[in-house]
Amino acid sequence: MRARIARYVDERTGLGPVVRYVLDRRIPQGISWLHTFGSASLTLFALMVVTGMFLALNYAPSITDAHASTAYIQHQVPFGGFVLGLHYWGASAMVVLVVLHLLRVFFMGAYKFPRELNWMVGVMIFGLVLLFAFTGYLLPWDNTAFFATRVGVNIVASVPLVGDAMAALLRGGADVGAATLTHFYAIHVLFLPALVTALIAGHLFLVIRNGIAPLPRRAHAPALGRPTVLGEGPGAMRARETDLPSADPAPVRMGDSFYPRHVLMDAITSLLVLLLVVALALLFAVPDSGNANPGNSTFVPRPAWYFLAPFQLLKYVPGPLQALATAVLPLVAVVALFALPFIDRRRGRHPFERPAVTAIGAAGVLAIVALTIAGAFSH
Amino acid sequence: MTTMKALTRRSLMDKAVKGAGLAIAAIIGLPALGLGIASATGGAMKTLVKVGRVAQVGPDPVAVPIAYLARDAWRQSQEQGVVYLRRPSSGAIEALSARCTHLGCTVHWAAAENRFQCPCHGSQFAADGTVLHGPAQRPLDRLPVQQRGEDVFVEV
Repeated sequence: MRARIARYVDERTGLGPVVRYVLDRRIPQGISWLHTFGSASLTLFALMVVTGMFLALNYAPSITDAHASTAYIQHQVPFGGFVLGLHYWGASAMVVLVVLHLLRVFFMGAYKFPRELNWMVGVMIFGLVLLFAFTGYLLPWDNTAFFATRVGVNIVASVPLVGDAMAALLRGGADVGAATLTHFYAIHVLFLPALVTALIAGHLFLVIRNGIAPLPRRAHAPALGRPTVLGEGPGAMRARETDLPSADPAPVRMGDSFYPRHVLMDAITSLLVLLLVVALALLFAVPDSGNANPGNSTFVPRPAWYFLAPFQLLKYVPGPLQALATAVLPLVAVVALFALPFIDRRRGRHPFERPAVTAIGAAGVLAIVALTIAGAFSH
Repeated sequence: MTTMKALTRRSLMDKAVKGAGLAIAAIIGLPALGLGIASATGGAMKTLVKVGRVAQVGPDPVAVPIAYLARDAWRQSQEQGVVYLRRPSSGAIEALSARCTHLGCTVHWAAAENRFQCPCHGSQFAADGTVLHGPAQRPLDRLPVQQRGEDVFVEV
């Protein structure tokens, strides 16, 4: 029966060969657990989409109703508190997984030819995930959400020249208020899902088109392992010409097919991440700091943990140089990250073959981790 | 022998992939689906409103204005309306909703003609709510009544 349905669909869609190509394509040797962060991010995206759609059934994006409807979901609707928890903790997990995926690609030099475009698509997705987090944070309309957003938007406003216009666009007005909530809601549930879905489709297409980057090898490393088996399709053929360290004449060593071994590893990582999110959602209720009161003068806002680093950095920067920390530094970092394949043009992909990039990347990670920890413990 | 082993290993992984995929789908889908289905039970909630004293209710329907705190999902609002109370010669106090069962206009009691009349499309109902004249198809809604001592409560 299943075979008949499969044949029926295949005859009318031609999907069969596509699926077989994707599943049976050979992937390079040594592809490991580090290569499962991308698919785990995708799984989390699915979790966020599904939980988000169902949360929206009972959420009202207006400043008179947002907090009450969120509390209604959390306390009155059966499964509501749990689904809200999955969405809340899933957001944190998503930021972590996307960053881990980005770091893996960064340190393995997998952004080089022919994968520059896919790197840039990935950096765009990363930026939009942060925007997802920032806009979603406001929606419960509690005090934390309100004041953290006011600070966040003011940081955007401190960007020279275009800052004020960007902040006004985001807020839909002069201060965080009714229009900000509907703006953030529309961005969060309409604009971003459409954009990110399209970018993910492109990201996946390019991964399959160009193949997974082989593990970086040093130029002088002796060629080991099985004889070369090149995969099928244009991506795999190109690998021979393009993925080699400059001085290494040995062709790429291909390993198993994508299915089932690597798919299983992907599934296991996804499952473990999901179970962690489930545990967090069961153990820790989503915090609620009360209906937002813009006149509250005693409330000390704190950003979500993934924005603690810039939050903490601001404390160390003297007033006149503020724009340097809030605008120039992040802007340079974002542009550099985006344009990385054009900045680091040498052929070597091993971290030691591009010491400057590796060192700057490692220093950046350390700085962000240190600032986040300092931010978490400061008051 | 080696081929056999490889085959077993592959089919084992195949099963594991399917199992893990199913678990992933369940974690993503089931809680959300539960919320979606459970949402059907939410919405407006019934509330008991005191409408008067037993002694005030006679055999003819009498309009009683009511004001109450309505709870609709996460919203609370002050609502006003009218219910009709009567006590048939034999039996307990009845409460009728004043909302016409045709399209929802508010009916009023025409004492001279001994019937409820709807101003919108001309439906008419007897004192006990049964339809005398269309377009309404079913009788006026009965509201649950509770008597506590001398006080009468209606669930709206």
